[in-house]
Amino acid sequence: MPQPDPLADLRARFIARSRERVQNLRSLIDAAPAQPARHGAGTKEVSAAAAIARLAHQLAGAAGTFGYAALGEAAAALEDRARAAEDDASTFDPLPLTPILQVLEARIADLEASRA
Amino acid sequence: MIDQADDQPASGVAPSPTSIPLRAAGTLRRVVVAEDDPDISALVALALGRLSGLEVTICANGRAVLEVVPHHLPDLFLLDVMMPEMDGVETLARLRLEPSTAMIPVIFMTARVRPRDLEFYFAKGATGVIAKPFDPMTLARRLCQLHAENRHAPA
Repeated sequence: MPQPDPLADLRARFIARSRERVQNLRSLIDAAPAQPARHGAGTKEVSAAAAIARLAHQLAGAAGTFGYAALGEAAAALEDRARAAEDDASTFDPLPLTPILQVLEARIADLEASRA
Repeated sequence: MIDQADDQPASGVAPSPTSIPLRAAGTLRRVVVAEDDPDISALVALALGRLSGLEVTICANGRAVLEVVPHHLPDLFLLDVMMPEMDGVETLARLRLEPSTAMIPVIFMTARVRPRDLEFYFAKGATGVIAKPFDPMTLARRLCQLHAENRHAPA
């Protein structure tokens, strides 16, 4: 008989929070067009790309620590794309991020279904 | 790769009898943790506290750590590197300046573990580094090992 998972409650909370994070990522990406990728030197204002990268970084780290490798890899891929956009472009084109976001949404749906 | 279909927890995260006996490995009893992600901090609190019997204090960033330590000196600090307000590297520098915390081991946990990153952390005075993502079920044992190694290291 398998032992109960001592992390079960935390996993449930993490999956619920991951859904919120992905919705936040969707909002940031949808609102991103026409925003500059970087603001002037010295400003503390966070660009859309930086905000996406940070949120994706948090999701990647937590997903991996909970053992959800595929979700973590998708989030890390989104982080990499957002950081590249932040570094290389004068304007932020969110279009290449959309397919990765869709993968993330599918991963969350899989996790929710597996626990339903 | 992002096309993996089955995303069930890795086997290393499954329940395992790794939590006992920890205190026999050294004198590690109290740990102060700084982690801004609520999911990871909850996981660390569970893994080190309820599952391993350590006394754990969770802080949301380095500034909170500095507010805690005058009243609560731990045996070890476990610090995330990237945190808002005060990151792990600055927190370590502040701890090293304070006589009461200067000699307490500091372990970083971070996803940035390229050789040049590790060189940087150790040059700043880190005792050890735990790469993210980590296995929460073996975290306490690894901290005990790092703590014991630090105790036996030449001054």
